[in-house]
Amino acid sequence: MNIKKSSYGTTHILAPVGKIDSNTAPELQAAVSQVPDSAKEIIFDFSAVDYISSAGLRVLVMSQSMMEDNGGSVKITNVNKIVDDIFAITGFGELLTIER
Amino acid sequence: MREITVSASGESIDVITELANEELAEHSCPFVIQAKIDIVIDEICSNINNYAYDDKSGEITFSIDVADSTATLVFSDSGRQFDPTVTDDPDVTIPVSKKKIGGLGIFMTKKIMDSVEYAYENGRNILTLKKCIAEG
Repeated sequence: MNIKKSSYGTTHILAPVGKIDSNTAPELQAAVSQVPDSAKEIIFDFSAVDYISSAGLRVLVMSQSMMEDNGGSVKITNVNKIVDDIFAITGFGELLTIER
Repeated sequence: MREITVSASGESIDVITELANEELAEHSCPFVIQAKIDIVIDEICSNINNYAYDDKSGEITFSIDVADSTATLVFSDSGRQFDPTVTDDPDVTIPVSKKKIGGLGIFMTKKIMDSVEYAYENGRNILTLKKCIAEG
């Protein structure tokens, strides 16, 4: 899976392309692991994400837990209707910060 | 109707998804619905791949048929007996940091599909899922 990475200040942006499923979620997890400890915010830009399965949700949850433990935060932006529906179905929309 | 038997592995998910999408495209399934069916395929296959067989050398038989705007997906395997329809739904209200992720895939499957039925016959788990693919 192609993941575009960028940053400004202590904010790091990860923009995965395609589907986040059990095969590609480990690649997203690896990208999160490469974000420096000094990061205060991770933004997942989902503008090119087709859909997400539970494997991807796990990565988001663990990323948020990790960042919160270090006094930071996670935000998900530009979700499409399918991803939005999955967040609603699972309740993750209430637990994660989704910027619409 | 399309059917395939593959090894229970990560690669099988893509193969099954591609087969399912061929059938769905033939019946003009909207992308929003196709994507959710793809998610379900990922969830079910992942569970079979990870938990059904001790030695990771098992197989999955998958079929999909669309009739009267309803897609019927059948997953069967010869792994350990497991009925996903009787598992507890995960608590989706507890804080993220304390969230247990187990059972989420089956929960999502139940929420996405219109019906989920399980049977155990001749040593095989048989999971039959149905979803209306008509738009609106």
